[in-house]
Amino acid sequence: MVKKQITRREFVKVVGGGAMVAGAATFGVPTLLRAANKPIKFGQLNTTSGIMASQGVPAMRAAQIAQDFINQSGGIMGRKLVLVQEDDQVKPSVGVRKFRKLVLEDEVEFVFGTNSSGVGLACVPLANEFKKIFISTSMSDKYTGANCSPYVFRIGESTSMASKASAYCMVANAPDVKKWAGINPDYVFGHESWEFFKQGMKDKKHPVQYVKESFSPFGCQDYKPYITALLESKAEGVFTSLWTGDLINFIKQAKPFGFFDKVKVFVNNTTAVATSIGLGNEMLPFWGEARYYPFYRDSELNRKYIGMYQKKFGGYPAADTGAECFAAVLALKLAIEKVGTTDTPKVIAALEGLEFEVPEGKKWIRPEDHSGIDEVVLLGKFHHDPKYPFWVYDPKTYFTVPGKELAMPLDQTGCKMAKP
Amino acid sequence: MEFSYFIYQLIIGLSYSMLLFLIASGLTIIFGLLNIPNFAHGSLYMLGAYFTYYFLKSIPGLPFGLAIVFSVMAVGIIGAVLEFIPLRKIYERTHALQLLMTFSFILMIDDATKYFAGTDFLSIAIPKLMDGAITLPGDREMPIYSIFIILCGLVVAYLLWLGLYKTRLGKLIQAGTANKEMLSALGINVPRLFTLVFILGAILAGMAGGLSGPLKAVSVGMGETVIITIFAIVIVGGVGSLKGAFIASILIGELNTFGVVFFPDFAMAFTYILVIVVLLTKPEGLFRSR
Repeated sequence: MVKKQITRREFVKVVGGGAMVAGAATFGVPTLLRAANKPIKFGQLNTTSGIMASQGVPAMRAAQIAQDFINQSGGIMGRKLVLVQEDDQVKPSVGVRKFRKLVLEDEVEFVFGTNSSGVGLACVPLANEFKKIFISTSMSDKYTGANCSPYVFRIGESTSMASKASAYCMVANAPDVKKWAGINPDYVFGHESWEFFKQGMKDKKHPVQYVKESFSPFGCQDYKPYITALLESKAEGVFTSLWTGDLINFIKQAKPFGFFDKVKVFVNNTTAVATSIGLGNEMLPFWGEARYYPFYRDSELNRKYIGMYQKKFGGYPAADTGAECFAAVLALKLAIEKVGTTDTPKVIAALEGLEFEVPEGKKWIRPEDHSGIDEVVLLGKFHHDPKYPFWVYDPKTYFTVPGKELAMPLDQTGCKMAKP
Repeated sequence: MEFSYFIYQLIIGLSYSMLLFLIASGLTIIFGLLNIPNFAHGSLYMLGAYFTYYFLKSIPGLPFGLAIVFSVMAVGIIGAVLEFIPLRKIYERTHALQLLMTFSFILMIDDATKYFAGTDFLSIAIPKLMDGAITLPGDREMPIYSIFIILCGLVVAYLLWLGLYKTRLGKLIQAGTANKEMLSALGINVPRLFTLVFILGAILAGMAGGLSGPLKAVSVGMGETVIITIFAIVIVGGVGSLKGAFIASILIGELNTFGVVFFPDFAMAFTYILVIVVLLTKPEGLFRSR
């Protein structure tokens, strides 16, 4: 048996050559090119299964539109944007697990999303632990209040903004209605919405009486007892932060009681057009407020957003969370390009104070607490217009409040921002 | 509190109870005879609502009642497929495995629904004839559709009672619920009986789904939101007991209604307190049939 001997000289040649090649691969020109072409990964958490799928699926789709929109116009600094989308099943425990997966396995550089603040707030500690930017697309004020952190942003309207704007709108449009009642979902969002609605009435020094406060479980099946109790209270105005299927169930069950004839005004702080699409001809003329309403602003970006969405998926981008996902992706792109790197502290600095255009208008990210502030918050009263396949706001009833007027004063947010 | 308000809420509660009974009746019959905790019962209920929506939409002028009949047939066929292919292979296995399999049905049915119907909310209008309300003493409105649901619940309860206690098939089901081995010893074709019962359960779930349509947003996941309450009813009433499901539906429906109206802060707890009390004092349920 002849063993092939390797001489010392040959050994040096092979190993040295290999090292040289490896060195070039690590430090040389081809590497730079490779890095420049390496896609930038964003991770997204929204709910695509179960009862919230009707909210989460459009949110995923809207983010895909943002991805196409960016990649078709050259990506981010010439690098392709790749989304990694995960279903949080509207469970905090699952959201946290998927957040870890996105960061550790998929190695995404930024995370955004969640439909429920319950899930999103559970992810905040992870954003801090991993030192990853997390942009919330759910509404809690806590992201930019008690839970605020250098890594956490909430760039859409908050619960307080939506609820106070609803109150301001009622003071202006239904000043005679003095007896108010509330029906809200029995978790943080519902309780905060109701408190901020009352705060809004107080802001305007509008003298009102609260005749009934009710809170129903999320996913409530039978609203009849709530409806009859509200009617028994003789409320003239009813405020609600019920949303998604709950709002539709409430409306469908309340209608036969003559509820909407008996109360003078009904106002909701989270009425995405998904509600009026779902209800079809059963929709009613009540006041709605949503983070995104497709027909208010006739801008090129809004037309492009709706057009691309319709072309790819059919139908309207109906869930307002979707527009916030679009905005989150866009904000990250702009911030990365502004500083020319995906380096987290630099991107944080670029996001702070960023002013940018989104489909629903202009946004500004307040640097001190990372709260997004919209140019205006819009309400409107639904009516039937044969031009549209579903009920839309009557343009004559458009009611806008400047976002800066609604933003919580900095000394009241409770945010103590740490250094990144 | 006025007495008339009390009576009013009793009727309001009954309309919820009867809707619960329509869903629970099928589950308790399946659970009783086949001994399978069919978690996918809620999904069959959801399919009932979707089919009703699509029959109404695709056949203009179709009466609501006929849409329900068609939808019930469709759900019955799906029930037959589920029983015939995967379920009958695991009758002798543990509950854990059965639970896992029926849970996988939920995921599959949900995903198939998302694929074919999308994720948008759909809405079935209350049939014209039953739109509106009648005014009860005290100037309180009672929706006609809710009265219709009460009647449906009572009629179905009566028909099921007739079927279970007055027909040969019903007696076989009862006998099988009490003692399965006896059935095959008597030369009964047990697998066929099981298939029939599963289809009957699916039909009841489908009908409840169609009838719920005008009261709820038709959406993926609507089954999962009812299934826990429905299991609570089956357990409180006693697995396999139709009478138990009927009484437990009334108890839970009324407890929920009176809880919301008179003790809103604790309304959620009442159902579960009832479950705990029954489990502690009568672990077999109120009317266990074996």
